[in-house]
Amino acid sequence: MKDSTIKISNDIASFDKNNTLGETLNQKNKRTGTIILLCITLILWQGLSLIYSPIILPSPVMTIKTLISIIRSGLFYRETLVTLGRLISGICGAVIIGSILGILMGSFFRIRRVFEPFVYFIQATPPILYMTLAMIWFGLDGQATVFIIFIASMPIIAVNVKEGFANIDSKLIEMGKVFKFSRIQVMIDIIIPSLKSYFKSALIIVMGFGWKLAVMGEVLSSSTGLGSQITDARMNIETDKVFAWGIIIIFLCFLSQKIVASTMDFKRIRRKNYDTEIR
Amino acid sequence: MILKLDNVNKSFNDIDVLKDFSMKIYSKEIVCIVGPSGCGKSTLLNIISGLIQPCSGKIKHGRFNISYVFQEDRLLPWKNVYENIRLVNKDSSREKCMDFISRVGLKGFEGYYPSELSGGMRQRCSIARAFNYEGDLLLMDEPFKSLDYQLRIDMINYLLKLWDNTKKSIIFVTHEIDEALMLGDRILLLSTRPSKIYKEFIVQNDKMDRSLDDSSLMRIRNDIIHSFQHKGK
Repeated sequence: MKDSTIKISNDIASFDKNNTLGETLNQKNKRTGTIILLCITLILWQGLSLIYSPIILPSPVMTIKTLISIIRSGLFYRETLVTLGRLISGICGAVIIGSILGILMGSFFRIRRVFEPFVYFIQATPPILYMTLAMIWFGLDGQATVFIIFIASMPIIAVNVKEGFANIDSKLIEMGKVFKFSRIQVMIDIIIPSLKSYFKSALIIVMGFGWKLAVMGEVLSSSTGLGSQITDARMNIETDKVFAWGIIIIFLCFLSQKIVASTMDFKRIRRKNYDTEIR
Repeated sequence: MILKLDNVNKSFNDIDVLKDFSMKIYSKEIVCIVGPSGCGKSTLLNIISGLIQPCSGKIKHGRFNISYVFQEDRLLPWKNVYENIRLVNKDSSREKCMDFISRVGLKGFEGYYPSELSGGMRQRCSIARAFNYEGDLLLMDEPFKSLDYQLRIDMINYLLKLWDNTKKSIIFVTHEIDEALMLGDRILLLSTRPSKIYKEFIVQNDKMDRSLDDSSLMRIRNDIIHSFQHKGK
């Protein structure tokens, strides 16, 4: 019996190894592909920038020089913090209200019947319409931006959490009933972990969407934040700056999505700690 | 007697699954329920555990806890083996949980998540969980279905050892006649839908020391197969 257990564990260990080896190989291939694509893009960009004037299309070198000077100046940190503050307040509001609404819609049929059309209505309305209204309601400082991030993200969170409820495994709930779990235990051990993956994907979508809305909002309505820098660059016809700020925004958006994805994935870390604790 | 079912009826969408079903379970016994698939064995266990309500009839029992090994493992995917087993009985000590884990042959896998285990390993984890719960009555719904022959024999021996320690009543649903012969004090053979107890076999041999070669067990085995061929189906 013991021998067979050890054998199984060896098998699994080697399986793990093969798997990770396969993964790294795959990742390597992916990376080479990305690098080749990047090089082609840069070459094309350089070629086109030789044809057109820098006002239409600044060269990659010029853009990178501008990018470095932006990062070196204090402007980068200041404006990023302003935009990040707006983004986080909008998303926090959306997460709080959206989760509550989602949980209520998931738990109670009547609430779902009342609120579902309302949530879909909010979701179907184009963000630019909210932007216009927000500019009228809140004026031309950051509030309008926070508002559109909130109003566009909230239904995404609510609908995902609600969907998560519909997909909870009823057999696990039954298991909880048989083993006399308390209501709180069912909530903490079964329902909330079941919702986690839905919540996570909603948050990643909202993060990406949020950055775009934040910048759009600032371009249209604000004199601070990353978007306002793009407006300034446009006014002064500094196309290289538009490109440089664009790269910064894309990078920040990508980074924040990665951070959300990795912080909401505790499994691997927990397993390691647990092993050392037990043995 | 710790449990009594009196004329229990249950139907789903006009299909009668159980009709006037009566049975008694005494303390310290292992009752094996054998029957053709789809005859309502799982429904019966779900009614006893209170997961579903019968349409009519009475279920009498004192205040007691019921432990259940489901047909599927029903482990929480976000908890590892140790946490899944500990979860149902927060008062159990770490040593006790680890003891159950090693008894079902999962030593070294405490930190693994269900998705990283094979079907048989998951099922053994769910058996360990049911034992850790310390119910007064243990319901088992084809618990060894996904295990290989050797492991099945090991698990039967382990179940017997455990029963010998605790002397708790067990209702064991299976369609493997040999399993029933190794474990049961009584073997109830169910008929097709709507289920009734078609025949009851009492196995006299000491269950701690049974061999399938034994002539009395062979006789019961033949009886069961005979009944299956004639009325059971």
